Amino acid sequence: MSTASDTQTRTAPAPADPRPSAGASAPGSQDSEVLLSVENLRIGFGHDEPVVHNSSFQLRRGQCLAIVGESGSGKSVTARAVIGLAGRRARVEAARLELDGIDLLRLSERRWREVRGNRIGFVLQDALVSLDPLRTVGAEVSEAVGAHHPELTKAQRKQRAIELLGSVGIPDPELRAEQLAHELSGGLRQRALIATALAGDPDVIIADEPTTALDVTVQAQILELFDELKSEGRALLVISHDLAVVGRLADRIAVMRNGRIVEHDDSDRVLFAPEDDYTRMLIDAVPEGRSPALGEVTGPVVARVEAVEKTFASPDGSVRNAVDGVSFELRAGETLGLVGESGSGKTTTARILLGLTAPDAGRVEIDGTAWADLSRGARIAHRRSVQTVYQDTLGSFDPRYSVEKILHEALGVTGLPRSARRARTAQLLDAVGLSRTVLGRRPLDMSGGQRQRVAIARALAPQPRIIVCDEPVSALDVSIQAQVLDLLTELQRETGVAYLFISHDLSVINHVSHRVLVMKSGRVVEHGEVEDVFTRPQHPYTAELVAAIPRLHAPAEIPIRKDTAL
Amino acid sequence: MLRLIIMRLLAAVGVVLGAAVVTFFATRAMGDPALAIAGGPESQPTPEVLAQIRADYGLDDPLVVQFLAYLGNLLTGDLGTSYRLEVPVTAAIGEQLPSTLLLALGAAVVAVIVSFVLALATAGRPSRKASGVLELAFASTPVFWLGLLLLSLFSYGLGWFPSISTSDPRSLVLPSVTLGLPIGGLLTQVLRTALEEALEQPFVLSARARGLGEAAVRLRHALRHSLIPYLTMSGYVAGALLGGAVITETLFNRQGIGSLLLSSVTTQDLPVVMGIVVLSAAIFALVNLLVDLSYPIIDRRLKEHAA
Repeated sequence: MSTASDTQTRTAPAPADPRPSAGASAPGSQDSEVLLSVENLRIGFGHDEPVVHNSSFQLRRGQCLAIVGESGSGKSVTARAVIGLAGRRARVEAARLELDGIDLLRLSERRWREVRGNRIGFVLQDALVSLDPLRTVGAEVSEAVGAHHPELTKAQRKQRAIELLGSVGIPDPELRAEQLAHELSGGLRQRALIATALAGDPDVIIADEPTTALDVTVQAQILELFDELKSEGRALLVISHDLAVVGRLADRIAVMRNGRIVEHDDSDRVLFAPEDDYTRMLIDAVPEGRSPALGEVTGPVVARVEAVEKTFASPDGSVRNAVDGVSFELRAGETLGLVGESGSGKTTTARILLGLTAPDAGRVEIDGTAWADLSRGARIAHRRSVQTVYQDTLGSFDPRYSVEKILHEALGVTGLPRSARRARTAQLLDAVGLSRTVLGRRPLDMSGGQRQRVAIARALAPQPRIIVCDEPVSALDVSIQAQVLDLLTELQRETGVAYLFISHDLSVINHVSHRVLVMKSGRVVEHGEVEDVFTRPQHPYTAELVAAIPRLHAPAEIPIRKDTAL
Repeated sequence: MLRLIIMRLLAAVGVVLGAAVVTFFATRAMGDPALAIAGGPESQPTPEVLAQIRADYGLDDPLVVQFLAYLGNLLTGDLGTSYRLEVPVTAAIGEQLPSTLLLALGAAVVAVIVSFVLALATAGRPSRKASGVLELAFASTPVFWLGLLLLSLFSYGLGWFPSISTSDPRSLVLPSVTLGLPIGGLLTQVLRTALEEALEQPFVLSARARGLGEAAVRLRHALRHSLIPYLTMSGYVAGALLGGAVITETLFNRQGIGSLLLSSVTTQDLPVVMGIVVLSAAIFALVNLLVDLSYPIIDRRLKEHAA
C-alpha cells in the first residue's frame, strides 16, 4: 500500500522515439515489445473507498488484453485512467503507468492531448451517442485528423477522413461522410467511430464494450476488424462484460471483480482452465445448451397469430413492411423464441400480439378471442391475459412508486379486493425469490436483477396466459442473467404461462425456448423446434446468425455452412 | 421545409391577430373610450361633447361593426389615430421604434456576452458555484434598482457614462447593461445547465479521447447541443423586453416605445396602447418564428421530423 511513494523512485523515462521499426518481434508473442505497463493502479473518487485496487497489467504490441467483469467491477474506469479521462474527481495512483516510455502519471493536460488519439485511440460502445449526433461522421473523423495534423488544409483533412472511413470497411465513404450517425446502420456507425480513433494512427487502441450494442452478425464483423488492427501490430485493450465475445479476440484475459483483478492469464487458460471461483462462475453463467428445466409442451393453444401484416410510412413517403405475413401459435407452458436483428419486426410483432398495434391485415386470437372483435372496454379487460417484461426495468417503472405500490397497482387492475392484496403481494414476492424487505424500496434503490424480478412479479400479478419478454436479460450481468432465466423457466413450470421471448442473443433463446421464429425484414424466414433450427438451419440467414454466436467452446457440434451464408 | 415555414408564418399571424382581438375587447371593457378622448373623468365633459366625440370616432356603431372596422384597418396596416398626439399611431410608434430597437439590441448583446462567457467558462467546473450566485443576483435584481445602482456608480460617481440619453453612443451603455444583465443571468443558468448535460454525454468523452482540447470540446461539441434550450428561452425572454424597456427608458430619460407606452397609458391614449400591444405581439411571434426555424439548422435530425 505504499504505491504513492513508489512513484518517486522510478527511473527516468526512456528517450522517446516512440515507433520502433516494424517486425522487430513477432506480434502478439509474449516477448514482443511492451507498450503499456500498469503496476498497482489504484483509482478512487473523492474520499470514498478506491474503486480499483492494485491492478497490474501489461499490453504488448500486436497483442489483445481483455479486461472482463460485471457492472461496477472497475473495468471501465481502469480504461479511462489509462487515457487520463477518469474524471475530475478521480484520484489515480500507481507504482507505474507508462506508455512506451512516457510516464502517464506526470503528464500535463497539454501533453495528454498529444497522447490521446495519437498514441492511444479510444472506442466507446454505442456509436449513436459516442459520435456527436449533430455532426456528420465525416466532420467527426476530419476533426480527429486535424487534432493530430494541424498542418493539413481543410480539404486534405476531409480527404484523409474519407480514406480512413474506407479503410475500416465502410462502402461509399464519400457518401457516408456526409451523413449523421443515426443515418448509418449500427455496424457502419461503429466502424466510423473506430475511424475517429484511428485518425492519429495510435499504436494502442482501447475499446470499451465495442460490440455490446450491435446485432450478433455485425458484432462478428466488428470483431474481425479489431483482429485486423491487431495484426497490423497495434495493441488492443478491450473492456467487456462478455467472456464469449472477447474469447475470439483476446490473447490474454484479466477478470476483474470489485476493483481487483482476480485472474489474469493467457485467454485459453482463463477460459478452459480457470483457477478462480468467480471466473468459473462467470463461465458457467454463459448460457450454453438447453435449460434442463424446460418442460414438455402439452397445453392448449393460448395465442393464434394468422398472417398479420403491418406497414409504416417513412418520412420520405416510402412504405416499409414492418411485419409481412407472420403466423404462429403459442401453447400454454411453451416458450417461443423470436430472433432477428434490429428493424426485423420483432417488436411490432409483439405489439400486435399484445393488441397495442392493430395489424393492417391478419388476425390475432388470445384464448380464442380476436382483438379485432372486442369493443374498446372489453379489450382493456382482455389485456390482463397478456403481460410484458421489458429490457429497461428502470424505464418501465414509475420511479416514485415503491415495490408495494407497483404490485398493488397491478393487482388492483384484476379487481382483487384491497384486503387480499397484501397476502397476494407476499405470494408474488416469494414466487420471484425476493424478500419482503424490498416492499418499501423504489426502483432506483434496487439492483438490475432485483428490478427485473419485480417486473416479473408485476407481470404475473393478473395471472396472465402469456408474457411477452422483450430482451428481458440483455441489460443484466451474466451471473444475474442466468438466475433470471432460471426463474422464468421455473415460473413457467409452476403456472403454465406461455412466453413470447424476444432476444438478439441466440444462446439465451437456445437456452429457454421450445420453438424459435427467425425474422428478417418483417418476414418469418425460419420456424421450428429449437434443436432443429440451431443444428440444421435451413435458411442462409439463420445459418449466418448461428455461426455468429460468440461461444466459449469450439462450436464443433454446429456445422457452419459458409457456402450458403450470405 | 417550405411548408413548415408557411405553417409557422400563419401561426405567427394568428398570434398577432389574437393579441389584437384581446386588446380591443379588453380596452373597451375598461371604460368609455369617448371619456378617455375627452381627457378622462376629471375633465367633466358635458353629454353633448361626449356625443359629438362618439359620432366623430364612430363609437356609436355596434361593437361588432367597430371591431370589424378595427380589424380591417389593422390588416391594411392602419392602427388608428392617437387621441393625444393626433397623429397616426403607426407614425407615433415609428418615430420611437429605432431608439427602442437600439436599446433592445444593446441589451441582447450584453445578455448574450454575459451568458456565453459565464456559462462556457464555468460549466462543470468548481467555479460554477460562484457564477451561480452572481447569476442569481443578476436575474433577481429589479431593473429599476439595478439601473439606479449603475447610475450612481458609473455616472454620478465615476462619471464614465452620461446619465441621460444623448447622441453619444456611450449613453447607450448603461441602459443596455441595465436591461440586459438580468436576462443574461437567466440565460446563463439555462445555457450552463444544458452545457453540463451535453458535457456528460459519451460523444464528449470520445472527443476528449481523440486529443481535443477543452475549448474545442466546449465550443465545437457541447455548445451546439445547448443552443436549442438556449434559443427557446431567448424567445420567451424577448417578449419580456418591452416591460423592462418601459422602466429603463424612464430611468435614463430615453425616448422610445417604453416611454411612449407609459405616457399613453397614463393619458388613456387607447389606440397607441393597442398599437404597442399588437407590435410587441408581432415582435414576439417573429422572434419565436426565427427560433423555431433555427432548430433544424442546429439539429438536422429535426428536419426529417418536420417534413
